Amino acid sequence: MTQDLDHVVARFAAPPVTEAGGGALDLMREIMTEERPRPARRVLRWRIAAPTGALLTALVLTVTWLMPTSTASALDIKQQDGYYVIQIKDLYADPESYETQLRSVGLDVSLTVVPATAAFERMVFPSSPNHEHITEIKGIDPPGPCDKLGGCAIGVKIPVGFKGAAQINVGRKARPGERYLAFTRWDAKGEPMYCVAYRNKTVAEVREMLRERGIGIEEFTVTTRGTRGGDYEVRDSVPDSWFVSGGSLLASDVASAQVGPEPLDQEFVDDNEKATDCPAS
Amino acid sequence: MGPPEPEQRFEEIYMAHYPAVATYVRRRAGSPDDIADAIAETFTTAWRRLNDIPQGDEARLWLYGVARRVLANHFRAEERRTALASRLREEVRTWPEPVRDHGQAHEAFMRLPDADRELLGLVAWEGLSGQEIAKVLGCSRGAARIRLHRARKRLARELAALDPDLTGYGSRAVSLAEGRS
Repeated sequence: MTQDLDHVVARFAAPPVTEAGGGALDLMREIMTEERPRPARRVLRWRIAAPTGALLTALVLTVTWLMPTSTASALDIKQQDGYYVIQIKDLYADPESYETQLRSVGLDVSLTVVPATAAFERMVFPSSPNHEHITEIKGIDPPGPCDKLGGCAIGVKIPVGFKGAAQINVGRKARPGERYLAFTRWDAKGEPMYCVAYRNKTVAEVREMLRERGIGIEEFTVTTRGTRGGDYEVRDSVPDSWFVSGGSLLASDVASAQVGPEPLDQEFVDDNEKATDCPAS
Repeated sequence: MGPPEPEQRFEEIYMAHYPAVATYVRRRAGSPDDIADAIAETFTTAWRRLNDIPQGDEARLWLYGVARRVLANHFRAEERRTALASRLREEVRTWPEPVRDHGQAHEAFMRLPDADRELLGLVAWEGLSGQEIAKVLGCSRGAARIRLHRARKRLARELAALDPDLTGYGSRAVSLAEGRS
């Protein structure tokens, strides 16, 4: 009987996993903090470049001097339905002035506004001191559809009585030429390559696609082994015949492209293309 | 930010199917790190493609299909380590060790092509029907049935090669090995 063979095979089975343990629950939460669709490893999530603090302070000083009345209250904080509802009146205010106001209502919360790529403009990203996403703090989205991966928040809400420490990063539109401190894949919702079938096209082809959108490639990230992740190195140039697997915008007209000498596994490409909610791609 | 709907759906799918997916992966991947990575990647894909996941128990078959592709890719890029799942890796190490030594029958099984092992595993380990297998593999029912038949036949032959006395594996194995079926 067929069952005899199946029984032979059945004996090799490792014992079943019967429940989702703490590690599994952690994983679930980790996954949900990632943007959908998920970008590749190098640009996994909201990234803030290291010199944020100093750079922002410098920027902010210049700007706030030009806005004499705004320093009085950079934030508008109201209490509503069990939340502090916070609106950023001055996106360029000194982070300390945000913090002073937040502390005045008993919140141990810092707020940083950073120049962000299009998909992350108006994104609200709260995290704990050990860099975990905090779900109790949320952006306030206006009604209606939102065409950005990071959401279209017009404010932030924090539960009254929130006890933890938190860092909230908020994305703002970058000035022309300004480098992004928060960026993601160039094909995320809201980005210029969203719903563009570029994977496994050559460097020459993708360079042209980007050029049509006013973007130049500044650097190439070469993944050395495997289809995703692994080690990578950054180069100024690569052969035009190589294949493009992804990329990010570093400023509105500057891109970094992920490339390799071999094309990606086609099944992986198909999966990724299906993953977007593009009109029949 | 926004309505909690995708999160809610994902959480439901995750809680309902995590054990099945984790079991599927642990039966096919090697090290605890590989297992944790493959689970992480399978569910990350699920999160990304939430709108594609069918309702009800078909979600499980869909997830098996994703896990199958993740594992296939995974073994091609062994150096890859996801940034996720650090705690899960530790947890996987605490899972009871499977019994490794299954003797000659296991040896015969391991000699089969990956695709055959996958089919036989889906039947014997996941308990799937031909129709369900077709969904996991993305092929027709007929194709699944034929492939399964061939896989069983090859297993019977491998068993016969290692142990000419197949009576322990049943009359079907004997007839398959001899090419009568």
